[in-house]
This record gives sequence, C-alpha cells and structure tokens, in this order.
Amino acid sequence: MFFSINESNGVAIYEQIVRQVTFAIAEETFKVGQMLPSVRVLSVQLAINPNTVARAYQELQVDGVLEPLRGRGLVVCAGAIRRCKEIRRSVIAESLKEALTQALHGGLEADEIREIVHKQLNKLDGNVATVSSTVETSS
Amino acid sequence: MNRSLVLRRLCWKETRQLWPLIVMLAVIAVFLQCMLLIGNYQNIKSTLPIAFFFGLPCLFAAGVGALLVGQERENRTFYWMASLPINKLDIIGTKYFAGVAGLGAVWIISFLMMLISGGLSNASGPISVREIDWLHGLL
Amino acid sequence: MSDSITAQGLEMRFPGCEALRGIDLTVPSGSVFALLGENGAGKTTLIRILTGFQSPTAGQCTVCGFDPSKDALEIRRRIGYVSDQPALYDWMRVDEIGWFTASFYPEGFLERYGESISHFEVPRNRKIKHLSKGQRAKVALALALAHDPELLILDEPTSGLDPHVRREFMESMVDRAVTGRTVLISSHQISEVERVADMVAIIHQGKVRLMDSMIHLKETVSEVTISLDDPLIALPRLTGTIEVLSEQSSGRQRRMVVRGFDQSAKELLEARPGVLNVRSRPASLEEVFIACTRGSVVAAVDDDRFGRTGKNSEGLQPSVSGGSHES
Repeated sequence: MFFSINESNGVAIYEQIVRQVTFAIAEETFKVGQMLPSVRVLSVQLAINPNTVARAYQELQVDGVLEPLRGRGLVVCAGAIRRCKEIRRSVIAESLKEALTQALHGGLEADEIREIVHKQLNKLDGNVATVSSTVETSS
Repeated sequence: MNRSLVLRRLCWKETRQLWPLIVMLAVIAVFLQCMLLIGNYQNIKSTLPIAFFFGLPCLFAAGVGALLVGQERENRTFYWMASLPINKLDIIGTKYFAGVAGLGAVWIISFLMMLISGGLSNASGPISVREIDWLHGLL
Repeated sequence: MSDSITAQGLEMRFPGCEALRGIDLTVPSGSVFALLGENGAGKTTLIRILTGFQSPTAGQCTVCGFDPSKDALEIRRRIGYVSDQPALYDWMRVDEIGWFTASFYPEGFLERYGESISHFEVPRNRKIKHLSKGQRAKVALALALAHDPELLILDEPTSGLDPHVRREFMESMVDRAVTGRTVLISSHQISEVERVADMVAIIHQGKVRLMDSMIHLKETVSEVTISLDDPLIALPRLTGTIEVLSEQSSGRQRRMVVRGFDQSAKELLEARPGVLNVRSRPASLEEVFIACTRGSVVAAVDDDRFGRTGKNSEGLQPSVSGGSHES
C-alpha cells in the first residue's frame, strides 16, 4: 500500500498513518488477517521517525483495528472492516460539519447550503472513484 | 587497529601526495641533461653540476610545504582527517618523515645528476678531475 | 541509558564575535535530535566544540560520556561525522579511501563500507574527483557509518543535493534510529527534520531559543490569528504557561505563534471588546522556526544566565512588525 505523508499540513504524521490505514481497511485494500509492514520497514520506506510509526500502530491496536500475531507483527483484526467503516464515516461527518460551519459562519443561509450540497452531489455521484485517499484538513 | 598499520597507511598517503613533485623534478633534471647534450652551453657547463646538486633539493623543499600542508588545508581534507580517530602526532610525524625522506631521495637524485652532468660537461670520462677536486673540497 | 550529548553553558567568543552565548542542551541516547538555526546562529561552532575541534571559551560538555577537551580521540572512535560538502582526497578511488580509512578503525569497517557503497550504487573504481556531488556525499556517509558509530553527527549534509540523495540520507538516519543509535542533525531542510526527528532545538544568536520533543512541540504550539475591529487595540497579555514566540500585525489582523494556547486564553482574547474573531491552528515547524528566529532576542532582566531565553513570557518582548508583512 502507498502512503502519502505531508509533514506540514497541520495533521500529526502518526494521525495521517492511522487514518490512511483505517481508510484502506474500510475499502478492503487490506484484508482481515493481512500483516502490516514492521515499524522498521515502514519507517525507512516513508523516511519518518520509527517512534511515529510505533505510535500509529499503537493507536490502531487500541482502536481494535490491528492485533499482534505472536511476535511476528501486526495483523488486521476480524471485525476491523466494520469498525474502520464506522470510523471513516465519522471522520467524513466531521469534515462535512466543518465545511457547513464555515458556510454558515460565512453568512450563507441553510437553504442556500442545501441547494449547493444538492447540486454538488448530483454532479459528483457516480463520477468519483473510491481510492485510498488522503484526508486534507480544511484550512 | 594496530599502530604500525596506521603509520604505514599515513605514509602511503603522504608519499602519494609527494610523488607528483618528485616526478616533476626528475623530469626537469632529465630535460636539463638533454639540453646539455644537444646544445653548447659552455658558459654554464661548469656551474650546472652545482646547480643540480643544490637546485633540485631547493625546489623540492619549496614545494613540499605547499603539497603536504597547504594543499590539505585548501582542500579541507585536513578537517576531514581531524574528524577521524587519529592521533595528531601521528599525522604530523608521518608528514615530517615523508618530507625528510622525500628530500633525502631528491638529494640522491641530484647527486647522481651532478655526477652525470659533470661528466657530460667534460669530454674526458664520466667524472672529471675537477669535479673530484671540488667534491674533496666540500667534504 | 545515559545521554549521548550534554552541554552546559557553552560559550564561544571569537575576536569581535560571540558565536555561542551560553548553550544548554541534552541529546538523549537513541534519539534523532535536530539542530535548527539560521546561517551563523552557531550550529557549526557547537558541533566543532562537540567533536573536540575547538575548545569553548566557557562551559562544559560531554559526548558519549567523554569530555571533548580531554578525550577527543575516544569521542572520534565512537562518532561518525558528515559535513556540508565533505572534503575527501580527490585523488583516491572510492575503494581506496575505504581501505585507507579502515586502518584507523577496528575490524569490520571495510565490509560495512563495501555494503553501503553497493547499496548507494557508487562506482568503486572511480576517483573521488570524478564523482558527482551526491555520490561524494554518499561516500562520506558510508565512511561515517562503516564503524557503526553510537552517535552520527550530520552538519547540513544534504544542502545542494537532489531529492534522491536526500532521501537516502533520511533513510540512513531512520535506520540508525531503529537500531537504537543516536543521530544529531543540523539542517535547513525543515520538512525533512519534521519527518525524522524526535527532538528539536532551535538556536538563535548563540542561544537555545527552544528545545522540545517534536510531538510535544506540535501539540502545544499554535498559530493564532486575531481579527480586530480597530488595528490599534491592545490585547491582554498572555501569561502563565503561555509563551508568545512571535507577534505580527497586518491591518486589522494580528498573528501570533504561541506555545500553550488553550481554551481559556482564547476566551480571554475573545472577551476583549473589538476582537471579532480568534482562530488557531497547529503551527508547522517552519512557522515555529521563523517565529523563534525573527528579530533579536532582547536580553531581559530575568533572562536566565545559562538557559533558554523567554521561557517565561515576562522576559521576552514580542517583536511586532507592522505594515503589510504577512507570514
């Protein structure tokens, strides 16, 4: 799997890894039982500090997404797909909430916003490929 | 890392750096000898042997400082060597030794050149009576 | 585990110039420690002192447990050093310089050097003067790593090198960190530092302006933008654990880089009449760097003699630059 790390977009690097792994599992790029690259391999591959990778893996374990496999590494848990889909849903909901807050703060009326959302959704629905995407924070 | 190896390697390096100077002086010496053979330099034929004997080592002594110290400083290799675990005295010592040994080698070469040029300047025999007297005068 | 490097009150005075004015820092063993600072801030002088090349005019330091002024040789046995545009013997071939350097180190040097050279894909038979800049840097790195040093010191090793070579250096640094060794890197490539460093120290005008773990820094330093009704409004002073690293104004907006900005500080600012909006977002390392190195450090009365300046914001006067200067 390819990761895409941006060190200066305001999102902590370990957070970006957590999110990308979560989304990848939600899209079944990673299958249940599949082993993730070790801390050493991934940190060298991405050229990031190993403690950062370790922290990301730690959080993924706490979230119940990954589990250790008898000293050999970390694998995707059973049931992780459902959990990741939930997490993805809430992350996207949060993004939308931020966008809507900005819109309202900027002075748009609720009806105006609904119209915009409707128009955009009609345009985009069916035309967007689902890929393991990076999530940019709305600036 | 045994000390004799360290000293040998340092000497190898210094010798490699000095080599161009010695070769250049030898080339000059040979060139002058050839000039003697070809041309008619009656007025300097008597002084040429002495010129060889003192001149070549002087040239060497003038160049050795620049080669062993000045060049290293200018190329900053001096600083790289300083970052290695080598005793400063070993570095200085081997440079001094290489310089002296080089000078000794050039003295020997110039002595031989003197003998040869002394011989060439006089038709009779390789070494003329005058040169032997002069040598006796020196010793 | 003992620290790789400790420094207390290091000072370095040259005739007519104070390069270091009291440096305190600690590099924990096994960390990747980044030293940031402008050109001329004193980073190279500090590294020279640590490698025993120069003696400080005041203060002490230890490297790998040894004092550079007494046991420089012991230190050099344990460290690898790569400088900016490393000066190697041009006339030597790549394999020759490895063979030459191996004589100063214990067994195993040549083997590891050979492995690195193969990994970096540098031609062995070529003379160093015929190598590209990037290849030279890789040779210097291979030489520095071949004796498996417990501390690797890199002084701007990748300046002027292409992204491929910079990537190789980063991977090497990460590899050292993974095996528990320490790396001290002085660099201007802030984005690289952000990725690989555990800890960062920012040096400005000969003093440590800020020293923190990367994680803590990112969690606690924010860029705060305040929109005002009237550009001349005086804002309440932020005190306590809050440290204002820099402050700028542009028209009706003020921008501050603040350490420890929390909800109560936000509310305090928002409560001031005339304040329209207060927005904060995590500051990037580059923004922190610029904030810490902007302007001159005012030597305040309660400036800690051997410590970092402005630790308590009372001591630091935030520099305010007006006009249309937007960061």
